[in-house]
Amino acid sequence: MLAKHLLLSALAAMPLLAQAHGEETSSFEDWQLSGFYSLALTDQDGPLHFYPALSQFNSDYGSRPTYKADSVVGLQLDAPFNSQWSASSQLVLRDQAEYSKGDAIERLFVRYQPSEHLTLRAGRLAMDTFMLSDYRRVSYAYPWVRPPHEFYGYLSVDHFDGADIAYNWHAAGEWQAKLNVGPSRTVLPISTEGQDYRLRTRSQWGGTLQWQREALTLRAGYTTFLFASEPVTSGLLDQALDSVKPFWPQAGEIHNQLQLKDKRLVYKALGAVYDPGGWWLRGEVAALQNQSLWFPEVHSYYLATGVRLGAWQPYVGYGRAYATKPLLQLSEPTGYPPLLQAGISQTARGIEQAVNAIRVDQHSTTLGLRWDVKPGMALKLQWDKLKSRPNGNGLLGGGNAVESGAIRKNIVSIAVQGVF
Amino acid sequence: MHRFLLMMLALLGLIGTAQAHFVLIAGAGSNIPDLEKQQAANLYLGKPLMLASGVFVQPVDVVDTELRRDFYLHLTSQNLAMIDAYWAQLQFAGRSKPLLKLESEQEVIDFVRRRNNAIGFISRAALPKDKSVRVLLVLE
Repeated sequence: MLAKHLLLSALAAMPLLAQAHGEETSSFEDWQLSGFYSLALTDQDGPLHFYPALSQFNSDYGSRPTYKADSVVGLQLDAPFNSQWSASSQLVLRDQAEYSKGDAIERLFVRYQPSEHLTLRAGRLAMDTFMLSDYRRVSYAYPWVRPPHEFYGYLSVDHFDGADIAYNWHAAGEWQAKLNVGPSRTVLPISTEGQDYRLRTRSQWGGTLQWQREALTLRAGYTTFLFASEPVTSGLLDQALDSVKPFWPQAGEIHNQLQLKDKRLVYKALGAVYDPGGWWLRGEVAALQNQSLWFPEVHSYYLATGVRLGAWQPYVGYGRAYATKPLLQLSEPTGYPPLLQAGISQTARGIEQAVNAIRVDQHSTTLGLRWDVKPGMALKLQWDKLKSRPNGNGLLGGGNAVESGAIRKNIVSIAVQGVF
Repeated sequence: MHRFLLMMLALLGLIGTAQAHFVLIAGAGSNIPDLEKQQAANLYLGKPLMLASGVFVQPVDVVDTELRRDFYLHLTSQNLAMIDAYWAQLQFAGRSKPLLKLESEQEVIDFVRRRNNAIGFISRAALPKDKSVRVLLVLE
C-alpha cells in the first residue's frame, strides 16, 4: 500500500519536476520499449520432474520434451522524465504465472538520481540477494540456459513492493552499498490441495555490498522477512493433528512448527566473478535459514567457468545444495488401543513423509555451449547431470508421486535467447 | 612501395579502414569538458557523470552496425556480445537507464546539436565541417 502510494505520488509529480529542469527535459523520443526472450526446449529422463524455480513447482515437465520450463518473454518500458528522474516497468510472461493476481508485473518503479553517487527507487523492484537475482529471467545476460539450479531453484521471491537506496563510491575499486525495504507477494504452487499458495511477507529488508576492480567483482547479499500468509499445511493434515492432540501432547508443538505465518526466513550469500575477457570464473555460496518445518533449510554453492573463442563459449559448472536440518523422525506415544494407535502412528508417518519430502540434497554437473549468433541473440545447448541423495529431492517436483530414494536425472536443453 | 603495401594489407583486411577512427562529439554550445578514454568508457558502461550544472551527461548509442561494433571494441576492448549481455543486466534488472539507440550517424549529430547534455560517437569521416559539434575525444 505504501509502495503504491509512493509510486502514484512520484508519478503525479513528474511533469512539474521535468519542467523545472528546462532544456534537459527529456521528451517522448527518449522513451524506450525493449525486451528479452528465451525460446527453449527442455527434455529430461529419470523419476520426478526437474523445474527451474519454485514458482514452477506444479509443473509436469517430466513426461515429454517441453518448451514451458525455460521459455519466457519480457517487455520493458523505460521513461526518462529528465536527467535525474525516470520510471521503468517490466512485464514478464512465463509458465505457471497467475496474471489475474498481477504476477506479470515484475517491475514498476520510479528512479531518482540526485548525484553520481546516490540512487533511490520506489515501487515494485527486483530482489537482488544473489548475483543473478535481479535478472534471473534475462537468460541472454548470463552464459547458461538458466541460473544454476542448486542455487536459484529455491529462491522463492522475485520482487518486492517498497524502496531501495544505493550509494556508490570509489576507493581502491568501485564500491556499491544498497539497502532495500518492503514486503513481497509471490504465487508458489506448493499447496497440497491444488490451490496455489500466495507467499506474502512482512518486515522484509535486505542489503548488498559490492566491490569491483578491473576483472574482479565480489558481492555479499542479505535478505530477511517474516512469512505473512497462512501455512501450506493441508486441511487433511490439520484435521489429523487435531484429532490426535488429546492422546499425543507433542502434536500441538509439531503443529506449531508446521505453520509458516510469523516465522522468519534469512538468505545470506557471497559471490565472486573473475572475467578478464577471454575466459571467466564465477561462483556463489549461500545459506537459507528459517524457523518452519515447511520450508527447506539449505546451504548451497556453485562454481562455473567458460572460455570465449570468438562467438563460441563452452562452459562447465558444478552446483550442490544440501539440507542443514536433520531428517524429521517423530516418536509418538504407544500403548493405546490398536485402532487409535494406528491412527496416531499413521499421522506421525504422514508428517515425517511430507516434511522430509521437501529436504534438499542434490548436486549437478553442467556442460554447455553458447553461440552468439548475432548481436542480441545467442543459441545455447546445455546438459545437466543431476544426482540426489535419499530424502534430498526437495528441488524436484513430482505431482502426487513421492520418491524419497536417491535419483539420477539428465536434463538437456536447446535455447534461443536474446534481447530486443 | 609503402602505399602499395598499405593497399595490399587493406585489401587483405589486415588493417582497419577509415571507419576505425571515431570521434566522441557534443553540441557546439555544450559545456561538457573534453573526456579521457576511461571516462568515455565509464559513460558507455553505464556509470553516470554529472556536470557542474547538476545535469547528467547523456551518452547515446547507435543501432547494431559495424560502427557500433568497432567503437565498443576500441573503447572497452569488449565485443558486442559481451557489451549487449552486460547492458541486458543493467537495463532489465533496473539498475540503469538504457542508452538511447539512434538509427544513423546523422541522427547522432542532430541529437547532440539540440541536446546540450548529450554525447555521441560517429566515424571521423562523418564529422560535420560547420562547427556545429565539438569533438570531446578522438579514438584511433
